[in-house]
Amino acid sequence: MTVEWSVLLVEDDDMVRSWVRMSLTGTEFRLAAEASSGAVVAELVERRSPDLLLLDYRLPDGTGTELLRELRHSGVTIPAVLMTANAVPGLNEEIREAGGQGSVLKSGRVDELLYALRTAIVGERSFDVRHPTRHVGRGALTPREREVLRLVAGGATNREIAGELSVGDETVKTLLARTFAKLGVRRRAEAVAAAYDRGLL
Amino acid sequence: MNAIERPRRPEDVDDFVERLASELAHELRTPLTAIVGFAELLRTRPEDEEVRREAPVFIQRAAEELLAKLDNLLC
Repeated sequence: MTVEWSVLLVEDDDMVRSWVRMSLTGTEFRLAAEASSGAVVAELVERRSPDLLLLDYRLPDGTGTELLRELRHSGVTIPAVLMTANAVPGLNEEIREAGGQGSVLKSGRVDELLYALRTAIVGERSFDVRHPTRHVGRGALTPREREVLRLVAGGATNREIAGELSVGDETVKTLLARTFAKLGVRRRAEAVAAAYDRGLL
Repeated sequence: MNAIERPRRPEDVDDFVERLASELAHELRTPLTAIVGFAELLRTRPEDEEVRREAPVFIQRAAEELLAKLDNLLC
């Protein structure tokens, strides 16, 4: 291959990292670097100057879209494709909002991975249609998520929500992250505004 | 697998089921897709020495992970 594009892979599962590396052998792509969490990615982008980012969605230190938002905020403009094991409702919208160019399900199919990378590297978008479109109606939120939103709207802190619902702090964080993702927002105030707009509160 | 708290009230059951299904799917799909992915590499790139050497090892490891996860679920 005469043209060679370098890819920075961020994926916590070493089997998946190995599969991606072997899948790219003999193609126009090569791995510039691999990381198992988001913590070192900004530094790797600076040091290795990759042409493309391939990010797992579920990372040990946050989500791939959170990582991408931070990278975009710090001026990183190279194309980014997000990978997930499961179809996630609203994920394509979440990736677009974070500044990503594509999504690909970890199906084990080399052609699907290469299609997503080839589309992104030429500046186009490729979102896997198996991720259901974001629901914005009342039914999109579970009763507990609506309850969390109601408490957020009342000004409750995470600790107060945990106490009110008799759950742990981590559960509150998870519930908030899922609710924000379903509503397509990043902050508590935006979540409350979106919930009122859509008649969820 | 991330810990999921058991529902304490009837109205929390839907939320519990949604989270449990999502976690289970993620846990089972990861080794399954590794098996599918490395098997495909073995089928389509048998001339690649690294694939011939490494893919069977990863397939066995993923299958054993899957078995262990299922055993944990059923115990």
